[in-house]
Amino acid sequence: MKKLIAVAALSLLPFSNAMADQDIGCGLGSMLFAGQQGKGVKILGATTNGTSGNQTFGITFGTLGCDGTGTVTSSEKIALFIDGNMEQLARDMSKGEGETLATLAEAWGVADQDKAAFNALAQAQYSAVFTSENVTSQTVLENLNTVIASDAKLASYTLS
Amino acid sequence: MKKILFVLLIALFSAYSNAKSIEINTLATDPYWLKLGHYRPTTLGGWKSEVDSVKFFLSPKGKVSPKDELNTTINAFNGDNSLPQQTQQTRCQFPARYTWLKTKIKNNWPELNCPELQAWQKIINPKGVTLVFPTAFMNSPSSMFGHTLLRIDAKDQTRHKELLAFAVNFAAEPDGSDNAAMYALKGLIGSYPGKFSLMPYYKKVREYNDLESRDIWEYKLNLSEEQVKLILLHLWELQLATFDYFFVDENCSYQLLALLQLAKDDLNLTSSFDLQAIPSDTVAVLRNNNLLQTPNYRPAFGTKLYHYSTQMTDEQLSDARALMQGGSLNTRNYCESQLVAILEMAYEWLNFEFYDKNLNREEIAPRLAKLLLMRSKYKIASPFSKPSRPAASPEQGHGSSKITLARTHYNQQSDLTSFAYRLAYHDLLDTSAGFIPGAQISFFDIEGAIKDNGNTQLEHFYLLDAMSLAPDNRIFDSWSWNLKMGFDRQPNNDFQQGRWFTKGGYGKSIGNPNTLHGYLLAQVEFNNGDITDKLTTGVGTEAGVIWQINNSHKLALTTNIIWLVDADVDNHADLTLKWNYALSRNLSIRTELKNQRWYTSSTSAKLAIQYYF
Repeated sequence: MKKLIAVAALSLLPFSNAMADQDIGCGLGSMLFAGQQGKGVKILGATTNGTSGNQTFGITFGTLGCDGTGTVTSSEKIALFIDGNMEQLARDMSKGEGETLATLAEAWGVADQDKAAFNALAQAQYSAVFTSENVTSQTVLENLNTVIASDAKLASYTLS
Repeated sequence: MKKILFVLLIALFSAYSNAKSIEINTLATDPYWLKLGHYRPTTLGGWKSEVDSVKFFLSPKGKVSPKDELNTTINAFNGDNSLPQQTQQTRCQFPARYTWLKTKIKNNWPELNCPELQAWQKIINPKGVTLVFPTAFMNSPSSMFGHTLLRIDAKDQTRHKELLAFAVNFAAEPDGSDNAAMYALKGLIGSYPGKFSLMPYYKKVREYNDLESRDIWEYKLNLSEEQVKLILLHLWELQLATFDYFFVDENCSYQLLALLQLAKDDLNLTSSFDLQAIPSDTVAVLRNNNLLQTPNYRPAFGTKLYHYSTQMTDEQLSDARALMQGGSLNTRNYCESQLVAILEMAYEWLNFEFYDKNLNREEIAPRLAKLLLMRSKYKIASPFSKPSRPAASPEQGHGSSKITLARTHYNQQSDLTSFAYRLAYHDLLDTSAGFIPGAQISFFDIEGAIKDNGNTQLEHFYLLDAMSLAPDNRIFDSWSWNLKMGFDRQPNNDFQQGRWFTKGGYGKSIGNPNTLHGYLLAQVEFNNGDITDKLTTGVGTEAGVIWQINNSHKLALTTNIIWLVDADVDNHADLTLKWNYALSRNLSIRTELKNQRWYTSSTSAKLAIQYYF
């Protein structure tokens, strides 16, 4: 867990030029219901097909670790996934089912026989994970990890 | 004796070097080498690469000379005149060239040893490739020209892990220092360079499925693991490449094909595109090369929302609406699964409007959070079924270009035979299988005619004829619009006279575009040309009903009346009845009865045979 917090802390620092390419997205600061880019961007998307105006992706995006070297670790992958799927995850957890929750379980390494318990826990502890509409992805990850750590059946999946 | 030996040696040496240069000449025009360099033949018989960045070439003449580039590449891989470290770096920059050349020429090169590349390959862990095709979104026919991307499927991938796979995207790369207005303008005219990039697939699913609400089709491609590896080796090389990004050609669809064709020596996917590659063409060329498997369908946010709403009564929907507006849940005598349906619907609907209408976060986010919290208290599965896959997937749609041969009979002038060509893409009468219902975009549509009296003339030319008829229903409040510009003919006494025009309309439609569907638009029109002598402005209305009887028959009745300001006639009008009979995917018969009025009135009947390709 410390490592994840370190990753999160790192993401709050201004990007150095050398890191800028790889670092976008490693930040865990996304908020739930962050709102929408303007419609102009949407229309524009038809011609540039870019995701948005201020992100630069390279061929190695998402394959490198957040410090720009080495390969991405599985906990970094989980952190990035939560960060990029906050709303879908919140919705799926409130229902205890859905593709995003299932993908998270896979990324988390939950074995098939424990997936039902994982889903049930996610729904039962929804309010402990998504504590408010202003919760950030970093807090969601920490909360979920805490909830898992205190569950008798799933404690072995706690990220360290 | 010495002299003879010397001559012999010279002869042998020159024979050897001749053989070598023949070998180089052949290799330099080998299709695979040309594909590696993205070379295309020029009109003057030379070559030119589509890559525009200098770094992608080792030779200064690399962009126009495949042979120079080949020689320089071989020398660099041999390590001629360079430090071992530099040689190694070049090999790792161009692993696809290295791998291919290693099997083609005599060499003592070592196996490729590139730690960064290997780490990258290990993370991606490639097994297969999927072509991802987001369809057009409602109310934006231009997005029919849309986008395609690739997904690299990992070896340990399951259905639930595909969101974590990597997507290969080709997109324009904006200049970070441009302001928003510049960005919009340059993006629209396509002046940003295009580049390949890689990102987690979920980013693209969120973007297309959720933010833009476009259905996504995913076609697994028939490629072996080894072939996928070759594609990725070349993708690695393309880190150095930028392309002039044009909207219609050299776009994402075209560039993805240029990448995919590296999978096999004899695979040629790009040569048939001289002018354009739109997503449906990409799909078609892959289908023709037997590379497509049956696609998987990912419904858009809006598609799911609409489908959920069809499973609810009016009362349930209005209870969901009240919840969305911040009211409390009216439980009536609903059972648990009905309550859950209302909560889920209220959340999805509010979330959709939050994005679609750019609502205030301060007000909406707490409501959304509350709805999810309420939903989490019910330990039952979602009562909603998932939207079913549409009967036809995009590769089953008609070709994007069309030629037409027609015969028209007029009551007031001599009959004519005409020939028409449409560059792209789909009109409301064309079979809708594989297309977005209720959306039309015709681009560069031209018709020339020979009259029975021997005269030839331009019948019509539409640069653009777009229409978007998204109907209102219980949950979506949509506007419909059209935009048409070009040339057509209007009746004046005993002949048809030309006019240039632009017209646009805005209004509403009702019904279901898959069955019976009507629209009414308010219109503004500008005319010029022979029929008016000067620029005239008009306002009026256009209305129509379109009935899709079944998969092969469509009937449309449309009418248009425009009152002209400051012109010789008060108004002009037309009434048209069209019937399209699709004989097969790419062949149809269209008949048209039309009454037009400007100075005088003319009535015509037209019979046409249309071929799509």
